[in-house]
Amino acid sequence: MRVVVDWNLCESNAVCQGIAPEVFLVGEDDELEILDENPPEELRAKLDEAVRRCPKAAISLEG
Amino acid sequence: MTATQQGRRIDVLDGRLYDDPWETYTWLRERAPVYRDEQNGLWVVSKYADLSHVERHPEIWSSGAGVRPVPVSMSIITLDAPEHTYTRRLVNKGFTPRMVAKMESHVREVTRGILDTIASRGEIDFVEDFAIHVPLIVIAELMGLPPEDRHLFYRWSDDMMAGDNHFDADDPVMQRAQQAFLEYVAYLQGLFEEKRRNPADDLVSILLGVSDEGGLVQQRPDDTSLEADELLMFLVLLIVAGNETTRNAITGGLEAFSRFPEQRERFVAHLGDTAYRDRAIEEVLRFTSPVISFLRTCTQDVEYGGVEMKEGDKVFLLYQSANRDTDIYTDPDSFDIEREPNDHLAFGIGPHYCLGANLARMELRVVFEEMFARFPDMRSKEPGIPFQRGPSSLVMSIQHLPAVFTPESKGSTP
Repeated sequence: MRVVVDWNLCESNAVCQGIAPEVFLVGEDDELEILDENPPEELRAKLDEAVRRCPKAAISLEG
Repeated sequence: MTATQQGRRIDVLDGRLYDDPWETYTWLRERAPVYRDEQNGLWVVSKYADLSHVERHPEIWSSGAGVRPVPVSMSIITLDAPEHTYTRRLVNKGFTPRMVAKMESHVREVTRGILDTIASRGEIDFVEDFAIHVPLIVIAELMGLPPEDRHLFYRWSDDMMAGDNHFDADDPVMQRAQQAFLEYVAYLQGLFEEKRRNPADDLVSILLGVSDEGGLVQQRPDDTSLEADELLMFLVLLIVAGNETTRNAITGGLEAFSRFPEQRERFVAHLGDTAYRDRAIEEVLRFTSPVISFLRTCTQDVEYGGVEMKEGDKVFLLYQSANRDTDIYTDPDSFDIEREPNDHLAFGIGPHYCLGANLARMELRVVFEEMFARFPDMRSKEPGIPFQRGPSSLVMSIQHLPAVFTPESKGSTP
């Protein structure tokens, strides 16, 4: 599974970080960093939630 | 399908519909989730999943042809990618959770100052004496406008907003809207010289700088009218969107807490519990949904929700209705500040998700916390009666709300 962020859309609302801090981190510079681009399967439920709840609809999962 | 076949003729552009729209919303969701308003030539979307789907697919349902029935170019809300992305980027870093958190203590001070002005009264017009002030002061400060002129911004903003869906130049509402726009423009132009000499870290300075360098995307390049000036329209959008919405969420929230007094008691009992408070504010947003509608235009023929939409068709999105959808919410007409999950659509979703959402949330947190900490029995004088509101199909536009509370005795220290 691969996490894809549309960087044209992302506005660092940090909702994803609240749901899956293992994968998403919004730094002090207000830039989102993907900590793990190919996260383990056990995070899928959390990542599905992050996809659904990102207010900018900027996140998608491949595979 | 025609309106008659669907069994009911609904004029979704009649602003008076929204004085008490709840039964109509229920009918739409249950009987005609993608309803054809023949009179206005609109597809009307009322369910949560459909509204979310449309907003998440801007390549099919575009904002570029306008987001209101009478289209007006209005900066970032009437742009599509890539111009939308570029233009929104000019300002969006100022609205992140981190940036907004930095403003919180100041907004708390501002709120306390407004509460001081009503403390001894016991009975107020909640809108004009309280709800308008914090959002106007905050957006004025962010933009770099003098907050003490906020009574002007209030009038201009309301008059311009009332012009929505009016197009006849002789219409008195339209004339007032035009007058307000011209006065606001004159005011801004007076300010621009000062901002050019002494640019500051505010939105007017930033956008003026970009505009002076020719950096704003021109939506109507051949049009030299003031209404086609991208800088001016961006500044119209910011002042209107930055105060009208939050003001109505504050007023609508007080009415909700008054109609469901056990919720007010719960909120007051949990003051200081930030997670509890944050969840309550989401319910204020869901329940009030101060933005009533926006519109999209089909970029192609598309079959959706059992209807055939044609390229160029207009789709009207009803946010309040989506937020009362029983597919998503149990007992949606109850105001329940412990509701969870509560991923409402009050700010929309997707590329046009409200730029000021984090700011609005912070203002609402601070306002309700400070207000109920000081006046725990603040309430609408006559809970449950319809709002005194302007005839808008765009925003709640609550004009007055008589409210009562136990005043502080004069001379006592808060």
